Amino acid sequence: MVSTRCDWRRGLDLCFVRLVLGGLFLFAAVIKLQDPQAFATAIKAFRLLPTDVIVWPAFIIPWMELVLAVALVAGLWSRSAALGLALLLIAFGGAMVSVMARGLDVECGCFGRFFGQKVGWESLVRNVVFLALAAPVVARGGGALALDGLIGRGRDGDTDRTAPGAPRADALD
Amino acid sequence: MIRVLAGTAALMALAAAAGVVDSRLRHIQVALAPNAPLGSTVQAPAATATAPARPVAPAATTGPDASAPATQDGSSATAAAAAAFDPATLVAKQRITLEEAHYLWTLGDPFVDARTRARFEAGHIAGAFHLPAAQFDINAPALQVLDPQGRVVIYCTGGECDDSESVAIRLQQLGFTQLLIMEAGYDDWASAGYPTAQGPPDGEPW
Repeated sequence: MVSTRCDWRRGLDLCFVRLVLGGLFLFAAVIKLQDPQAFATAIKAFRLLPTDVIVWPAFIIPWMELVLAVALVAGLWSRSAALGLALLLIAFGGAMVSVMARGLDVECGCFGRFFGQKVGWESLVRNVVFLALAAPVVARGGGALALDGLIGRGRDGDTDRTAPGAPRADALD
Repeated sequence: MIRVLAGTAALMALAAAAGVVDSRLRHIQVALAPNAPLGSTVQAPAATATAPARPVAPAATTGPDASAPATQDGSSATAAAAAAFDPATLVAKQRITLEEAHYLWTLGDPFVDARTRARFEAGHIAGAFHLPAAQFDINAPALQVLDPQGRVVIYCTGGECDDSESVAIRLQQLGFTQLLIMEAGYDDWASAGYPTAQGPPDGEPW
């Protein structure tokens, strides 16, 4: 990917994505962590896992959302955080497709008690939109207002502190 | 790229560790536990809930109570049916059939509808309380009235629906010990000609 002159502007759009996507996941994570019982029930409804093991994803998924969302919002290890969220989104998308293919009537469980929504095309499209949001951060890094930028040049190969307009060190390895 | 992947793995491993610790600290119940065992005497139905007069079902029913005269509380019908349906046995069984559930209904046991609000208002078992599985609220009005020491029958749409089990698990966590799940759905109840009602739960405004 070739760097351009308008880096600071690019940085702002990445920053915006980080805040929106990270903010949404943060909200979703907190809601799930407040009521792991409800989330376990939601997972059960997908009928993908045996009942004995459901307790693990019921706790691990929200914690992953939380850690990744915080990292993304702060802009710390932005690409890694965005990639982690993208992986979660792919997994959720797969689960949704499976439910739709089997014709099950299942609540998304994405935002807990709020926005109760049946798994279907709408939730799938939303999932893809989030993936599309995560992609540029995975590819290009945290952008403006990211801790990555303060810590120094590209911990994971993204933003550095060169002046706007200057060619950016490409670190996509 | 390797660095990015390593970062992702590190973040997710950290989160997974936190999740495992959290799961040990906060216990959740995923499966329905068996009911507490009863003594040999028949358990009285929930006294707190104001049970409406429950006449024996119309002639659509077949069974031991079909020939008994309808009384205020169906007591003579109850005696006839008691030989077939023993509440203690039903509680031990936990999952009950449509007829068994209807028998308990005639005894005045409270029923809980675990379906969505829309479905509840479109049609529910007469006298049923509403505790939707998807938005279980511990401050729900129904929970103020239901007696944790009494029998409670929970139903949803039947078939593969596990909303009734979800609500049952929640109630167990709140201390209920005599929970029964009607495996048949609301539609089966209505098709059998048993009493139904529409609109919001009794005592709640439109």
